[in-house]
Amino acid sequence: MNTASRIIVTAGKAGLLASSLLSFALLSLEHYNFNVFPIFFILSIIITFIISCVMILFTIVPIHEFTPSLTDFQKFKTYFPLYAILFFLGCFYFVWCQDFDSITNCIFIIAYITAMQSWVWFFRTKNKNNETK
Amino acid sequence: MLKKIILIISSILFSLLFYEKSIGLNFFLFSILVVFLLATLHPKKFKSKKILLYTICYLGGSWFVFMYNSFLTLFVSIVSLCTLLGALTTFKTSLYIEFLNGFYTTIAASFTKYYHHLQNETEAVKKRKVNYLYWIKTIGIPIIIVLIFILLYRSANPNFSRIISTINMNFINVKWVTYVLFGYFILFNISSPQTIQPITQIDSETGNRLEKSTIPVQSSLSISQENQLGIILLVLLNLLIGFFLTTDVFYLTAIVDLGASDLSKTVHEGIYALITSLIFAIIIILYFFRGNLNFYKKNKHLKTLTTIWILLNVLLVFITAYKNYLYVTHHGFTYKRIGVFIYLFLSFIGLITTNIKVYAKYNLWYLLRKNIHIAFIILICSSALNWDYLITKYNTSHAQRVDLEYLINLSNNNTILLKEYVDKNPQKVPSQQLRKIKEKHFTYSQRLKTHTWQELIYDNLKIKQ
Repeated sequence: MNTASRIIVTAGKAGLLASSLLSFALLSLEHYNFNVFPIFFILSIIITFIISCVMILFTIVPIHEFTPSLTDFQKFKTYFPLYAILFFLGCFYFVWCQDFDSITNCIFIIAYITAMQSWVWFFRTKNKNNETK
Repeated sequence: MLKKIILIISSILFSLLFYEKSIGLNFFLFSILVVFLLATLHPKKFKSKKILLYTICYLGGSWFVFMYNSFLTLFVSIVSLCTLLGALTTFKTSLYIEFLNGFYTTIAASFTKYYHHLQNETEAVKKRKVNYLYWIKTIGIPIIIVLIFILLYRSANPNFSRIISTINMNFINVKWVTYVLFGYFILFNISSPQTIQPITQIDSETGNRLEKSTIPVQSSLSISQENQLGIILLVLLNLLIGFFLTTDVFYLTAIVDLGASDLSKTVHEGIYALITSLIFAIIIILYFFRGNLNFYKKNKHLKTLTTIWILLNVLLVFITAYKNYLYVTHHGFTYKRIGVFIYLFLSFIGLITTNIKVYAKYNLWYLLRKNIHIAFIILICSSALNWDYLITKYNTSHAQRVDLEYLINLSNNNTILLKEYVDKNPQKVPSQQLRKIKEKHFTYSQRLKTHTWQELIYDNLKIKQ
């Protein structure tokens, strides 16, 4: 799979995950109007797909492209911890700035989970025997 | 399977402790739960003294969250937990690597584990699917039968029916389920420690000693010139600091009788310059003793001058500490002034370890490891103190001027003490501040009364007495 298709596939999955998490979060609202749910879900998939594309393009792809000598497994093992820590600190900073407001919490928790899962999907290799050993 | 059951039960307990609750006793109970979970899943590792020490630090930190409920105690408790988790993954790494590994474990272990699971998954494993029918039968049938019997017993016994109807299950909603899932995520991460591979490996392979073979080769002429440069620079710096200290001592003997504004100026404006000078002092020493000069036979003079400079810097630390002490006796403690004392103590330790590094031919990593260890110990010890209470206690009983406005703006840890102070000395307190203190005490007492058992803090027990 080339990089472009990896981006599209990962962003598609990420969009679906983020929209599902967002819908789940909205269900906890007391006065949620279930009639708007289908439209909201479709719209959120489109928006989160675009955001995921941009995020993957600017944060994951550079690491993938600038380290051609490493296998996908090695790239994940080397750079994912750093990415996870920095991304978490960034999210935590914004949540802190908003004084732990519940909506901000929700948005950044979803963003964090989606970003981390995107790494897993992006660097998941088909040819396991070659990559992991 | 056992691990999953323990995690599910623990995540339900997590939601019971934290769902729509503020921090208090629940944090301490959660720490017990975490330790129990880790000890159950990694029993062998808990036989190590290091792990036991970190566990005590973590439990102690969490206990102080219950006692003082401050940001510092919460921070220390989280740092201790991360260090404990990091120590569970690797035994022979530095404290900061343990902390980083633990932090990484807490926030992202489940993703790493999932990725490894996907990578290692073979076709044979893939085909071994979960037997959903078995699980539906095992969980579903007993639940249905129990519900049927409850309905039967309810109609047979009015007392039983009354007790059953009092059980309130309203708390189970989407929000609560999300909380349980969040608890599961955190506990799953904590129970599966991971390492940050590159840095852990580098750290465990790096020793504390300087190895001559690893230092780039330098000509003897170049080393000799560097030695001369070092000697000239250190002679000049020693003369300069000696002159500075002499003038400072004279200034200090004169300033004791002066007003507080002068003291403020000396301490506040001078402290930043001193902080920078101490950092520069350590950097200069580290520069000269970074490599070949450590093994140069004629480096005796340079080493002696370095020790003299370190001793003079130590003297500078003591003089600055004395200035700060004078300021405290005039105006009382504040967080900034306590911070100055802690900084000076850390600088003192930094200078001593730098001197050890020079004589024992240690590398930069030794300095980093030792100083971070000491900073960690200080952090743990500082969480054991109720700072707001101590500041208020000292200022109201010893300070020549009491800044009540500052004390009122501190956290609620000093509320009871402030109330006692104004009750004993109503004539010393201006009416505006008296009103503010009474208001603070009233609001705090009201808040304490609303605490559920999960949110209990030590002040709840004091109020009851």
